[in-house]
Amino acid sequence: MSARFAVGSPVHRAWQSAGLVTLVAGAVTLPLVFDDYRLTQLGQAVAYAVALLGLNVVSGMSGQISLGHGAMFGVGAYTTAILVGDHGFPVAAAIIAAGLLGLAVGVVVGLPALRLRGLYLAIVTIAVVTAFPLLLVQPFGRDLGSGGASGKPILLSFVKPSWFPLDVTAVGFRFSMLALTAVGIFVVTTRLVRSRVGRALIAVRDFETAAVAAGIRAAGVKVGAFAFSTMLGAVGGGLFMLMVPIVSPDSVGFPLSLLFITAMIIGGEERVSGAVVGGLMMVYLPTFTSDMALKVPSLAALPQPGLLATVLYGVILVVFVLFVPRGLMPLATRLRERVIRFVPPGLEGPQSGNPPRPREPSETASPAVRRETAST
Amino acid sequence: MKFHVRHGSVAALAAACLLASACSGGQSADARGGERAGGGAFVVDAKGCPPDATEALPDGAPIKIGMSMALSGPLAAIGAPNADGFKAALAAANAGGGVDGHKIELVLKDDAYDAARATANAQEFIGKDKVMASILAISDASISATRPLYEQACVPQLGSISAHEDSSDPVKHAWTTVAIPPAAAEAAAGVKYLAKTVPHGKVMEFRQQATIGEDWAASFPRAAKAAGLSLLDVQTISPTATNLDAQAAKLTASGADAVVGELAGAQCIPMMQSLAKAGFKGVVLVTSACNGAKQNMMPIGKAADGVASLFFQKDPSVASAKDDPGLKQYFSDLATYMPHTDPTVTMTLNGYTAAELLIQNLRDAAKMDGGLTRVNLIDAAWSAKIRRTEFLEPDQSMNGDKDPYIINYVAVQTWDAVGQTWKPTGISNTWDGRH
Repeated sequence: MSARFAVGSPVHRAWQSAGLVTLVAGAVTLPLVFDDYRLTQLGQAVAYAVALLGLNVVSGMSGQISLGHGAMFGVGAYTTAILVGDHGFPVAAAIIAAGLLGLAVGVVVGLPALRLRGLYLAIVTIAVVTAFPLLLVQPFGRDLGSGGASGKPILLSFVKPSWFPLDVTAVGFRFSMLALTAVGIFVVTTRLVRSRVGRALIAVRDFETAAVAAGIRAAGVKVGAFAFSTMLGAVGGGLFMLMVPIVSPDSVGFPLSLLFITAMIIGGEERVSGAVVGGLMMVYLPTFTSDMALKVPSLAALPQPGLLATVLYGVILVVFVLFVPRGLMPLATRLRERVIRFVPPGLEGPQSGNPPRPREPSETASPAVRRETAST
Repeated sequence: MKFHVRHGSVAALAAACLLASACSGGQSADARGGERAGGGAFVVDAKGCPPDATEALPDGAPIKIGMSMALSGPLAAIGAPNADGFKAALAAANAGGGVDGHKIELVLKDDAYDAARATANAQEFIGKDKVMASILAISDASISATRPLYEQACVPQLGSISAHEDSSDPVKHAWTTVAIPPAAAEAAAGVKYLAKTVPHGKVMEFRQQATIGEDWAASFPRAAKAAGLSLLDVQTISPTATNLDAQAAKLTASGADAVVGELAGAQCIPMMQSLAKAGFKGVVLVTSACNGAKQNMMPIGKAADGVASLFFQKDPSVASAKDDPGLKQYFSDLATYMPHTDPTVTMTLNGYTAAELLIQNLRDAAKMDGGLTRVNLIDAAWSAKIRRTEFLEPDQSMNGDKDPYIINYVAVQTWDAVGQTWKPTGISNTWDGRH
C-alpha cells in the first residue's frame, strides 16, 4: 500500500525541497569526497545532462526529432573557448553568450520545424551536425578562432575565492560552480515544463490540431522549444569547458549526437530527471564497457579487446530499448509510487492498496511508436 | 505558476552570479618549461613541483606507466596495435629483470580518441594510479588537454604522437616529449624528392582537413616554393570522404606533374585508387602515415606501383623484414610475449619502439643523482641517446632545445608492386629544426 499525498501539500513540498537540498549539498560537498578524476567525470556528466535536458524538451516534450544536438553542444563549447581564450571574457559571461548564440541558431534551424515532421526534420538536423565539424576546419572557421583540426584549448587558472568556505582543489571548485549552475538550470526548466508552457508543448506533441483549436500557437511553441533546446545544448557545451580544457571537431560531430540520443532513451526522454541519468550514462557507460573489455581476463585476452567495448555498449542499449523502453526515470518513478504517490488534490484519501492503473494501449512500446500512435 | 517560474529564475540567476564571481579570474595556466643549466645539460623547471616528483621510487616498487589509448572508437585500429607492441617490449624488459630492480607495469585505459576521456584518464593516472610517466598520447587535442595536468603534477608525458611543431617545445612545455618527427621534417624530405624527380614541376596537394593536413600546410608550401616547384590549387579532402574521384579528375585536368597526399588513415587507399582510375601518370608522394605496405599498398596491386612514401621507421610488413637483423629482436619479442598480435602492422612496431625509448630513459634516470624520480626521468628523456635498429637511422638522440626530436632522419622510398617491396630512392633529409 502506498501513501498518497496531494500535489502541493506540505509533504509534496517537503519531498521537492529535499531533492533540491540534496542536489545543492551534493554540488558543494562532493569535491570533499571525490578526487579530481571522479570530479572531472562527474562534471562532464553534469554538463552533458544540461545539454540533454534541452534534447528532452525538444524531443520528449514537444515531439520533434533533433539529431543535431552534438553541433549545438559544440557551438557552446567553441563560443566559450574563443571568448575566454581570445577575447578575455569572464567564463560566466562567455557561457551566457554561448547560450544566446545557441538560442539564435535554434531559431534559425528550428524554422523548418514548422513545415517538417519526423524523419524529415531529423534529416535537417543531421545536415547541421555533419556540416559543423567541417566548418570548423575551413579557413574562415580558423579566422574565427576555432583552432582548426587540432581543436581550441581553453586554459583556466581558477583561484578559489576567499568566501568559499570549503578546502577543495581547483577542479573541485570548478565542479561546484558547474553543478550549482546546472541545478539552477534544472530548477528553471522543471518549473517551465510544469507551467502552461510545458502543457502547451505536450498538447502540440500529442494532438496538434486540438492544441491549435484550444488557442495554442503551435508554430511558436515548436520554434520556441527548438530554440530553448539548442540554448541548453550550447550552455552544456560551455559548462563542459570547465572540466575539459579543449574542444575539437572530432568531439562535437554526429557521434556525439548519437550518444545524446542513446542517453536520452536510457534516461527517459519525457522527464527532466531523465537528463541527469542520461548525462551520467554518457560518461560512465563507455568507461564501464571499456573497463569490462580490458579487465575481465577472458575478454582482455581477445585481440583488440577495446573494440568489444563498443559491442558491449550496443548490447546494453538494446537491452534497455527492449526491457525499459521509456527509460530509467519513469521506471524509478513507478517504483517510488509503490511507496509514496502524489496525486491531484482531492484524490489523496485512504486507499486499500494500489488501484490498478489503466494501461495505455501503447505504453510498452518505444516512445517513438507511442508518438506515432498519438499523432494518428 | 508564475511565482514558481520566478523562483527558479532567481535560482538560475544566483548560480550564474556565483559562477561569474568565481570564474572572473579565468586566465591561461602557467606552462612549465626548461632551460640549460650553466650551458650544460638541459633540465626541466622543477620549481613548485610536488615533493614526490623528486622522491626516488622505493626499492622493488613497480614503475607504473600510464597509457591512455584509443582502444575503441574511430582510431581503434591504431590504438590496439600500439598498445600490444608496447606490452611486448615491456614484457621483454621485465623478463630481463626490469629497470634497476623495478618491474615496469602498464596502466592501460581506453580514451576512444576523445579528449574528454583522455583528460579524465590523466587525472586518474596522476591522482590515483600515481604513475611515473604517461606514454603515447595520440591526437593534438588530447595532448593539449592533458599537458597542463601533467605539468602541474610534474609527471612526464613521454612519446606523444604528434607531428605538430609546437608539440615538442622544451622551453615552454618541458614535461612533454614526442616520438615522431615533425611534419616539417617529412615535408622537407618530400620536397627534395619532388625537386629531383620533377624539377620546377607543377605540384598539387591533396590536403586532408585534419591535423595532418594542417601540419603539412604549415611547412610544405614554403619549402616547395623555395625549391622552385610551382603549387597548384590545393584540393581539400573531408576526413570522412571515401571517394576522391573529383579531386583526381581536377588533378589530371590541371596538368600537374606530381601530387602530394597530405592525408592519413582510411584515405590513403581511396586516393591511390582514384588517381589510378583518373589515369594520372605523374609522381605520387604520400606521408609516412600511408607507408604500411600491408595496409595501404598491397591491397590495391598495380595502382600503388611507383608511389613514393616518407619513412623514418622500417616497414615490418614487407617480406624482407623477417630477414632484417634490425627487426629480429622485435619479431622475436612479439612472438614470445604477444603471440596473438600481428607483428607486421606498422603501429605495433610504433608501440614497441616507444617502449624501447622509455626503458632507455628509465635506465638513464636510475643512474642519475637521486635515482629513479620523475624529475630525473624527464631530464633523462631530453638528453636521450639510443640505438634503435628498427629505424632507417638507428642512432638517435635528443638534446633539449637544441635537438627536441628523437627522430630527425626521413627518407623517401618507392613501392615496387611487382617485387612487393620498398625501393630506396637515395633521397633523405635530416631535420635540423630550420625550414
